[in-house]
Amino acid sequence: MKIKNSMAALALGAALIMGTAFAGSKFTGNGSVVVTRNADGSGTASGYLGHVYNAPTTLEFIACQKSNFGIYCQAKSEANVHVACSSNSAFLANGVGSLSADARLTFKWDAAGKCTNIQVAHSSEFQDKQG
Amino acid sequence: MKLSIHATRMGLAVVAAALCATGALAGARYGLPSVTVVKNADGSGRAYGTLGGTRNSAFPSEKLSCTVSRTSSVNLAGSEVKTTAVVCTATDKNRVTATCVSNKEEIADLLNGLSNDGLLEFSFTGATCMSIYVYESSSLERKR
Repeated sequence: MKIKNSMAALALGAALIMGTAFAGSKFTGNGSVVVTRNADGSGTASGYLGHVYNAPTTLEFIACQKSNFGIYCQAKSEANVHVACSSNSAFLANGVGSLSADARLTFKWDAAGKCTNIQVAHSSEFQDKQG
Repeated sequence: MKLSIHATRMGLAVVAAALCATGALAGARYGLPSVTVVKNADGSGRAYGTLGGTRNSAFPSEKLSCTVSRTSSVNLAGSEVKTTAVVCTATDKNRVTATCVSNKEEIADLLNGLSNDGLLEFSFTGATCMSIYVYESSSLERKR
C-alpha cells in the first residue's frame, strides 16, 4: 500500500512537472511563410523558422544567406509562390547574421528585386525545430 | 495524516523534479525559470530571463523577446541610408511588462549571437533601450 501510494505520488509529481513545463506564453499562430507581392514587383515575405520546420506542410520554406558578395534571401509559400531578393549591403548582412534557428524572419524587396529590409525576432514564444 | 501524505508527495515531487532536471544527461544544467522585470522609480529598469526557461515557465503570461529591423535604401546622392529599429519586450508572471526601443545600430549589434534559448537582458530608461546583454552557455535549458 505504501509502495502504491509512493508510486502514485511520484507519478503525480512528474505529471505536475511535465504539466507546468510547457506553460510559458506561446506564439499561437501557425507560423507559415506568408508572401505578399505588390503590383510593382516589390513585396514582403515572413515566416517562423521553427514553426515552418515543424509544420506538416511540404513546400514552404524561408531562408537568408550572407557571404562576401552580400545577402540572398528567398521564400516559398505552401501555395508554391517563390520569391527572392539580393543585396550587397553589409548593413543588411548584419541582420542576416543575427538569425537563429527558430527566429521569425521577415524580408522586403523593392521593384528591382533588391532586398531593402531584414527583420529578425527572437522570442521565448517561438518553437524550436523538433526532430 | 493528510498533511504527512501531502508532505510526502511534495518530497517525491522534488525528487521527480531533480530526476527530470538531471536525468541521464550529465552536463551541468540550470536556467532562469522566470522573467524578471525591475522598474525603478526614476523610470529606469531592466528585464531578464532565458528564452528557454521563459518558454518552459510555469506562468502563461511570461514572455521575453527582442526584434531588430534593418532597412536599407539609396538616396538621391547614391548613398546608402540605413535605418535600425530595435524593440524588446518582457512580461513577468504578474503581467508586469517592460518595453524599450532603440534606433542605434550598436544596440542592435548586441543581439547578434542570441540563440533559441539564450539568456537575454535589456535595460532601459523610460522607453529607450540602454543596453542589451546576451549570455550563451551549455548549461542553459532548451525550449520544450
